[in-house]
Amino acid sequence: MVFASLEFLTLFLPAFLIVHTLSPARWRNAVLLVASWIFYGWWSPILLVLFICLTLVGWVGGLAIDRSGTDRQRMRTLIVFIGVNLGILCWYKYANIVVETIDSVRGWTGALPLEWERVVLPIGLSFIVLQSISYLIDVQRRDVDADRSLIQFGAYQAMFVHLIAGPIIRYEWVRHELRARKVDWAQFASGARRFMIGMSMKVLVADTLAPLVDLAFALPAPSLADAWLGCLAYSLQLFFDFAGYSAMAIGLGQMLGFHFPENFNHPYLARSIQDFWRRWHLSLSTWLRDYLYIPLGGNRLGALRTYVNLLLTMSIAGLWHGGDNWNFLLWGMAHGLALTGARLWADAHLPAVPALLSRVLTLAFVMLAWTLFRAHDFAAALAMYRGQFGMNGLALTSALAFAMRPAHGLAILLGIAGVMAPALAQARVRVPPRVLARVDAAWPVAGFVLSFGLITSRGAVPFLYFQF
Amino acid sequence: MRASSSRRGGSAWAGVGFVVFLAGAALSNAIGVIVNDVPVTRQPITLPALLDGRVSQDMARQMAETPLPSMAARIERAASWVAIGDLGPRVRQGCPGWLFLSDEMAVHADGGAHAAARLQTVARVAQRLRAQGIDLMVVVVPDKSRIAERHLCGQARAPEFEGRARQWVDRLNAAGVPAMDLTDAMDLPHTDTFLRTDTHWNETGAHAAAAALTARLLAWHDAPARLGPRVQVTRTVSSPEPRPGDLVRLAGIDGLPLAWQPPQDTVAQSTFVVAADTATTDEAALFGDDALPSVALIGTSFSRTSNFVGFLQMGLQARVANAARDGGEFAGAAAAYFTSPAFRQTPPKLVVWEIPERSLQRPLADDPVLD
Repeated sequence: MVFASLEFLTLFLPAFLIVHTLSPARWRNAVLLVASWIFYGWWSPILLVLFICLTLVGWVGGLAIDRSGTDRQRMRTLIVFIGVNLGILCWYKYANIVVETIDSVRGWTGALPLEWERVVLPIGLSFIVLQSISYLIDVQRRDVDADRSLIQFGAYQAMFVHLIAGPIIRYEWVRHELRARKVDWAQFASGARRFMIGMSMKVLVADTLAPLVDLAFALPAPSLADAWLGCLAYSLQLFFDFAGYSAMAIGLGQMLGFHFPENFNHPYLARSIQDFWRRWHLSLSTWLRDYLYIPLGGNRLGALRTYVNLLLTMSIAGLWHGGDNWNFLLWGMAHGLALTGARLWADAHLPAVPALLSRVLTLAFVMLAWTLFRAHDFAAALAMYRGQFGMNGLALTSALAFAMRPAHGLAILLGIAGVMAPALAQARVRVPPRVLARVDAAWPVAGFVLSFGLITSRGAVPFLYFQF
Repeated sequence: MRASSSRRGGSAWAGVGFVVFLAGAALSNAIGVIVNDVPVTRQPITLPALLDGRVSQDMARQMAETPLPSMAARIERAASWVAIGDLGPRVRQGCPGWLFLSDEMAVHADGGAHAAARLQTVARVAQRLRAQGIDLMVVVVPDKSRIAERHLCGQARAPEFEGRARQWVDRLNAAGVPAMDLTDAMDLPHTDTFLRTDTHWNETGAHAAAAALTARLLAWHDAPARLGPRVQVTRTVSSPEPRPGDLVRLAGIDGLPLAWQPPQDTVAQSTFVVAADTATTDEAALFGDDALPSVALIGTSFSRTSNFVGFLQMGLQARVANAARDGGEFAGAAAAYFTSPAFRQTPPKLVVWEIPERSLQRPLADDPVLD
């Protein structure tokens, strides 16, 4: 199930909120767990079995680590359970591409392709596995106690509000609220507002731009205008889709009495590539920092090792994002190289780049890297890059011009305004406070109502990070 | 201080609005199921259907039929059209009043490979039919935006679409499968062969297409012998009447007052009466299956619109069994017809397979299995 769907908005959510609100506090985790399993199993109940197994692995793993005597035993147990989690993730995520790669190598020798039935990636698996690993490591480090309640741990793992597309919620952040949480009207209303804003971001901007992006990235020889329009539209689509979903998750969490940290902080206004990763998908970037980069040695082992660690961490981040093709790995490596380059620049004490130029260069790099991220294979990415460097002509081609609708123009304008919001807020425009307050109160509701109309009229577009 | 209190006020409004919405949604579902008799699911509830999600997916579809979503969809479409002239993702406006299906202009990744794969599929079907003594004629209907290009008002089709119908047909002919592209037949000077607010041809276009197909079939060396008993077809034409267009419906603005919609087409509709030719019908044939059509037509809504079959029967002077399906795209009708009792028990001698140009390059995942 996705948030921007009729079944969620008109059936699941009203029913869940009524039952959750009327339940005694001690039953709320059970209600949340059962509802989350229904949410997860809605489209493919059979995959729920795998999900329940993963939950059991995480819960048993935590207890097993906790009961291991020495630090060495704790570490061994941790490695076993991380291995199980990663094994499941790698099978579902990378088996297809490994077989395809083997086939293409065999193809050079004239051998027939291997007989292979494609493995279907269960929704949200990557998020579930990262959460599980962070919990197991935290238990091993004695940062948190192992949860002895299967229902409570299951509710943490399964919580539908962030289940399929993050943010990646660490057990430590919510353990107190899992035991006792306060649900009141002010929290609910504030959460509702956040949810409405998130829904508006996703439906009004991201989903509206989706068909335009699909077309731009399908063009065999996009012109300069096609390629940059497609890239701009995708950059907006990805941000508004993902940040919108995160806002919905944070809002829903608030309605239930949870407080999740922010996942985005105006990433397209970043001053540098390091700054970008301090603003984009924070729950992932901090996860990578705490559970991968720092354990690898971080920047404590000398300059060369720091560069290697950066490159390795970002390459793994790229691989985590996708198993359909190797573009994701290249995307991660590109970011790793950019971070390494920035570090080299700083280490060499070269002069700082002027702030505005630095912002522009960072955004240009991020957008060029998104091209690799979005293209369905490397050849398609190269075609797009040829367009972006003007090798297929300059003007907008007829295919894209015909596909452009008034709604696309509005979504792009809305998207740019949203990205630039902090800068616009600083502009000295005199608006009476009462008008400002009314606009502030009305626009989330209006955006949500319009979004609901759009969901019903166009059908739900799946969330981009749905199968990551 | 003022900002945070105004934010609290804003949140209160959002909270109230959200609760009202959730209550309305729940009420809408209840009204849909209890009052309007919208079934919770049309999918038979079996364990396999539950496990692979067919039941839940169908429930989601049914929810769209309840009052709140259907009203919200109509309001959104109407408001977008009236406010910013937006016709939704599936319809584009060319010159004022001329609507086009956006699928026609969609560029698909690997579209050329998809068209080539479909060509192989058709060739395999032709071979299988030939083994059963059945001929196949493939007919490609050109895009409306190709034929009515002058009504695009400056918007141009992508250059890569230029030869997609003709090249596909040429390659099919080269592979030994008779095929024809209706572009030349339908591209009449100063005459519109497509409806303005509908994706389909008008009667002039249907007539022209049927005439070209008739000429090709009659010129085929053994096709006349395969057309079955001759029939006489008479045509009467009604007085012109307004005709609602499917593109207006697809854009979701058909609920608006007529004055706010693009002007409707006015159509004088033909009616065809088919009578057996007494000169070629003997007593035995009347009681045998000689009177059954020897020609079967599979295809899309083009074959079911503007009396294409009537014009074809009139031209061929033969009955044509119409097995086309609305929304059949490339192979929907073919898949249904070739597995039907009608085909198995009374196979035709000639199959005409009508395929819209826009279907050729669509993703293959949309196709039913034919092999």
